[in-house]
Amino acid sequence: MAIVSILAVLVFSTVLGITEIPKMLKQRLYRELWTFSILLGAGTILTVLKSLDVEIPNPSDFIAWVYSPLAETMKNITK
Amino acid sequence: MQRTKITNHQLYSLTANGAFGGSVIVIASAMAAIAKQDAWISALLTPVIGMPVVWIYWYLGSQYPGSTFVDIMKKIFGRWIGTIAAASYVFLCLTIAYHLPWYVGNFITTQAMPETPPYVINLMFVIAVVIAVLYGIETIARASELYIRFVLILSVLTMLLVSPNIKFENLQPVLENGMIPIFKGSYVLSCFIVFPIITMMMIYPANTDNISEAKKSIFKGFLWAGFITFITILMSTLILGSKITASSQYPTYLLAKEINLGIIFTRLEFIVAITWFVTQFMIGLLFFYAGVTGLSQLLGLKDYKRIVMPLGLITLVMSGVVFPDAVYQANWVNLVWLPYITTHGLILPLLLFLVHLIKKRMLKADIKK
Repeated sequence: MAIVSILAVLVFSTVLGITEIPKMLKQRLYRELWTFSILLGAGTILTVLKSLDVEIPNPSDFIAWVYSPLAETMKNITK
Repeated sequence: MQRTKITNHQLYSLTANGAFGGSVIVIASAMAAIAKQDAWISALLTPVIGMPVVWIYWYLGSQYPGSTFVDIMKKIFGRWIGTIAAASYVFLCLTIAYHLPWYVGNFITTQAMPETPPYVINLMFVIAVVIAVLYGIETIARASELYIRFVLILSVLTMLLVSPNIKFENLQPVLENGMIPIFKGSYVLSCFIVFPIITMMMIYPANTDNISEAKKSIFKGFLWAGFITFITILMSTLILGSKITASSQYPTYLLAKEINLGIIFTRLEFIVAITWFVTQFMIGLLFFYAGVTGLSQLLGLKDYKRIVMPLGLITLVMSGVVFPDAVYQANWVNLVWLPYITTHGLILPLLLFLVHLIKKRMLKADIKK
């Protein structure tokens, strides 16, 4: 199963890169090109890691940490 | 940049969808846990409390026609603080955009297809969202116009069919614990139906041309959403009673399971489920659209459609990471989501409003001199 999803995401990002990057180069959208590449790279790496069952840091934990001082108040409200 | 304009009826349906969107099937549970059998009073109170908040959204938009929420923040707060506030707002939108597929995946794998991996369901949801955002705001707005009728017909149908099971004893005693739980309940409900309208701020001043007409549409949409939520909560309490409602994860779905009219009208619960998928899809779309357009504005991109597909991929992966299980999710919603959306949906607009007023007054004083 891991191999299938890794292959799928690699094929997806390659096809997406091949179809999208020349268009952006032609229109000279370099900012878009950078953002696109970084996001696509991040997405691919995340998918591969997730397929290999590596723990990915969870942004919900980070948000929970930011609002942890309010946790007691919230417990009172939602009780 | 020339922006696509949407009509006022489309604005109305988008607001309504954004307001009751994800919460319609789950909210009765949280409400019944807090306000017990008086949950329906909280649901009546919430639109009244929400009115000034929605008015602030409208006022902020009306002062800066043609600009999105990210622009408004930059104009009011100045370049640096504005950018930080906008980045936090965009982060909120993108975060919630990958929370919502998790709910759909969790619902289907617990209630209907237990052996399917949730990622398969999330994948379909995310693909639909990505395609819709690639089509652009006009298509989204037209679809919402269609969906709002669809949702109306299906919810009225289920509520009518379920009404023979009403037990009025479930509402008694009224005001057993006084007014405090009712206010608490209203606050929690506003976190689900009032504050999420902040996502509309990426569409409302930028893509509408008639501001005074827009006021009417936004309020109409908001009140309509409040009404639907009220009916759902009232019916859940009337039929299931507050204890069962509070302990179930999807009370409205459970409610539809109660439909039993003759032999013909029975097992209609997936009607409710489908309605919820549609509204969940719309709210997911609004959050994702707001996140994508906000991010592309922050980075100064000319065309937001270029980054939709990579962001869709990230959204898909994160939808499986975000909540390890339902207990974590319930805790997160109670302890984190409430203050999180309050910061962005109430405190941030309020600050913007105050700073805007002060700036305006100072400008007037300058002119007088």
